[in-house]
Amino acid sequence: MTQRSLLLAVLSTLLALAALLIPLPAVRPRPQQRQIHLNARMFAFEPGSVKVNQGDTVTLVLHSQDVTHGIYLDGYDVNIKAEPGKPAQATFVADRQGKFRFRCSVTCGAMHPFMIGELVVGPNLPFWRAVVALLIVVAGSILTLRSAAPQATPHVSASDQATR
Amino acid sequence: MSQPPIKQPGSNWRFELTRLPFLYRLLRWRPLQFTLTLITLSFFVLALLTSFLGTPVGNRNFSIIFVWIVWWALVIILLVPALGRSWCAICPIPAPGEWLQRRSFIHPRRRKLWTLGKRWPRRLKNIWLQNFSFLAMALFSAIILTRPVATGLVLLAFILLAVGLSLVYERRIFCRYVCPVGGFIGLYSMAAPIELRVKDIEVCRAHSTKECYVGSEHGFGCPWLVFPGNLQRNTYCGLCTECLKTCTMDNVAVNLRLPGLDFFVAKQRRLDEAYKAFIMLACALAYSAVLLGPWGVLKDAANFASLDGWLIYAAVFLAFNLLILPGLFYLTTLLSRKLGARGEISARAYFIDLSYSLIPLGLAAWIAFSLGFVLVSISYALPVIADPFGWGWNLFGLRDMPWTPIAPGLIPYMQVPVLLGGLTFSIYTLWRILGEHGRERLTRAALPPAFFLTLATFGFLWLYLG
Amino acid sequence: MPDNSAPKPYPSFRSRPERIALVLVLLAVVGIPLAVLGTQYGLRPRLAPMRTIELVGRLPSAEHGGWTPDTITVFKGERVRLLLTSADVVHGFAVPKLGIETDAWVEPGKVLEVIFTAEQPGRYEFLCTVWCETGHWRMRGVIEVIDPDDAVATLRDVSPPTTNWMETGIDIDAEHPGENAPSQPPDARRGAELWARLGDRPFPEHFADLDPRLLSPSHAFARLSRPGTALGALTGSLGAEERWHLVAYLWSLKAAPDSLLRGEYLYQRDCTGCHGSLGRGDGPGAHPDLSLDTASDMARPATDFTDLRAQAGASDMLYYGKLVRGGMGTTMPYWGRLYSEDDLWAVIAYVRSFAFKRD
Repeated sequence: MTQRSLLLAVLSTLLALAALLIPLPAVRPRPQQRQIHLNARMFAFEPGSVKVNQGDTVTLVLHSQDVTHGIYLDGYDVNIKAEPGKPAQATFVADRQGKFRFRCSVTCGAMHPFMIGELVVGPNLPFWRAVVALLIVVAGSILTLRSAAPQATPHVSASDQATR
Repeated sequence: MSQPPIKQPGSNWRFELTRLPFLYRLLRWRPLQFTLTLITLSFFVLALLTSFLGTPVGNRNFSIIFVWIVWWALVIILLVPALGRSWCAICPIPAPGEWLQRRSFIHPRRRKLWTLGKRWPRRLKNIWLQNFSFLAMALFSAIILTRPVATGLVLLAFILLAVGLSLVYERRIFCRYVCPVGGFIGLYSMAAPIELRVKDIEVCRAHSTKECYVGSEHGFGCPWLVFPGNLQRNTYCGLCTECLKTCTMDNVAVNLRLPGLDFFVAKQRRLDEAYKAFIMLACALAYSAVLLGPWGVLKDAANFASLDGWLIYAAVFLAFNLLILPGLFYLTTLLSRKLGARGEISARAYFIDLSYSLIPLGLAAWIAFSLGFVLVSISYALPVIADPFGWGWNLFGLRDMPWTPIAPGLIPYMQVPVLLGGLTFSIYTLWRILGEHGRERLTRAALPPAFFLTLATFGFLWLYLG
Repeated sequence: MPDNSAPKPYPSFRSRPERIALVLVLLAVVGIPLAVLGTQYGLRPRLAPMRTIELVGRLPSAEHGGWTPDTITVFKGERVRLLLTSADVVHGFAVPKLGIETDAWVEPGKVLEVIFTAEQPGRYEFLCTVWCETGHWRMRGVIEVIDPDDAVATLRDVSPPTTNWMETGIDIDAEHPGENAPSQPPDARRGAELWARLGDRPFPEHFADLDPRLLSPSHAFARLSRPGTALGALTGSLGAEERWHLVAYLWSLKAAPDSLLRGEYLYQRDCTGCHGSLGRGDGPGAHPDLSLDTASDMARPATDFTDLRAQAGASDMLYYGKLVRGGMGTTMPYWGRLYSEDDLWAVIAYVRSFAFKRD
């Protein structure tokens, strides 16, 4: 491993970490009050994907359409359950960005563990950070590998020698 | 996400774990495999009982939780990445057939196995059967993963098939050529940082009795039909360590090594294994969308809500696995071959070679996918231990433990490093495989397949975070 | 099968380790099933503190749907434990006439324990109390309480409703729009205030000549403006809106507050599936699957209790008849064997509150 490639490897790792972790000033739209009605049926929520902005006060109203369902929202302390005909609701402040899955929290049949919807709290910076980190990792890997052995001398491992 | 180390010629670093006296003695202790298998067999028996007699409610049935959550997490998140095929050594499914063949549990009793001893058809001496058995299960995964009876039937079919094959064919034919799980464990075990190898191939060449293959009073001949002297990859070594026990030259070792060296054993690359890599990557993508995604239509189709829906789903699923994903990758290899001016190698061989670069990313994707539901559902294990059948038992007072997802908000933050690490490993693998054909125009040749890998990773990131 | 006798150095099959291994394998393969079955079917019943009956709930449309078993026989005075479980989705359980009204769910794969002692012989119907599908109401069963000394008593419905609505001749299947109807939901409190100002004696006394259960709000309204009567003289000058407040006041006097609470409890538990928690006829079962039978009344949507004209035209007895018998040919089930007479009137009083505001 050349010094240059080591440097590139370290540098791209640091850059990728920076892309993932460096705090950025939050650009927040003005917080709103949002009421979101979620219809639950075996084994999906409608709408399955909900978008809000960071800082919004969100009220989820759960309407079970067929049998009793619930909502457990990842990362937020929300767990409500609703019998059909008896909507239930929960209010919380969407204070963290990212995609949070909400899952049915009342066993409702075979596919219950996979009854999942998603709440995207925008701007979805965690996703875009991951995409930037992805690009850094790809570029970093290729540049590192390029500089590791730039000459046209193939290197062959012991196992290759045994087979080729 | 540190870059994997670049291996320099000659720096084939290995640490011989079997030099540790404790480990050496443990691995040579004959009852070891039996003892561990007895434990897994007990769980297997309980899983089979609960699947048929217990509640039809999957998340309250021992079989579903312990097979598809606990066992699955153990295998794909811990055992395969760290210890390769080690599960295969302690798997209960081939055990009854193997005991029957040997007519003993621990010590070798006679040289001949109790079996018709037929030869496995030459045309099936590959993992195509495993590719298709896995796909067949994958098509019904929404059913099998959620219905205890379906899980029970699958387990029962496995063990009956394993016993049946052991009566007809010599050694572990089921594991080697049929088991849908063994196929991908073998594929991904290539990435593992441990291996079983001979210490010095010259010793084997000079040694004619080959106890490692035929067996001796110290141990059985390789159940996997592998001659350890030829081992260069983990793919078909079940880590049962019989050869460690039988080798009279003490020439067998279990090594710690750099992960993924097996990808570079160029001579042993094959289309069936390449397809295994595609199938696994495609299934990880498809499952992430169908099972963890928010789309009810997909769930209905996979869950047999209607026959028509399922047929369409099955057609698209198979096409994605067998045609679309391999086809797209094939296009990138064609482009790579052109850009890299590697016309001297056939397009087919080039495609097969480069396919192995999908394996690390595939493994990472399966780990990421599994994190997405294992951490959420693992808390079902406690009530299920207390009441395996859903009959109202309350062993250890754990029955009323509520369902509590573990760190669900952090799952994406575990998935990202796993995926990016897998991608890095994949690009490294790609680079080294390309390097086998010369160093000229390496970057150009690498770009199209690297783009494919990046796009696949983006797909996972989008599904998990986007 | 080839069977070469083992060469000398090989340990014999009957060696100690092999025998131990065989025992262990047998323990796993035979011992575990025996232990499991022995515990479940031998040990547990013997350790049970009292007679235990397992009751499994399934969606009525499923194979073996409904309650299994759907008939349970116990002795008078016998302490019995029910272990309730669901094989699919959340169900509920109540035996109103035995006073068993647990609010706990019968959750899939979990076990709900209910202990009871029935002192009076007879038939007690039980039901699922959580909406589970269109056929939810079919999820019913019977507990038969046997008195060995009185065989006939077992067949009796315990405390059946005593009012015979059929004698009144009301056609409970007919549409019943009121001739008069308020345009806004009237307010009983304002009616009370009005009467405090105008009234000469307790308001219901003006209707003492009629059976209050047969009186519809529309009918009562008509009385308020009838000239030549004492009541007409007192209220004739009021506007329609004020007169409707008085009608609401009249109905509010019919039910005691605790009866209304009981009615609310029962309605919210058993009626919301079709009529909705706000009485709008918008529950998940309000519109039965039209593909089943479009021609019949099965396709009729659930009654909307906020429809003021329909409420105005219905006497309490009409509702009573519908509740006791069920809506013939519609998906409205019968409640006469589940609810006591007090429960029936309590539900009716609560249903009125969707049209008539109360405190």
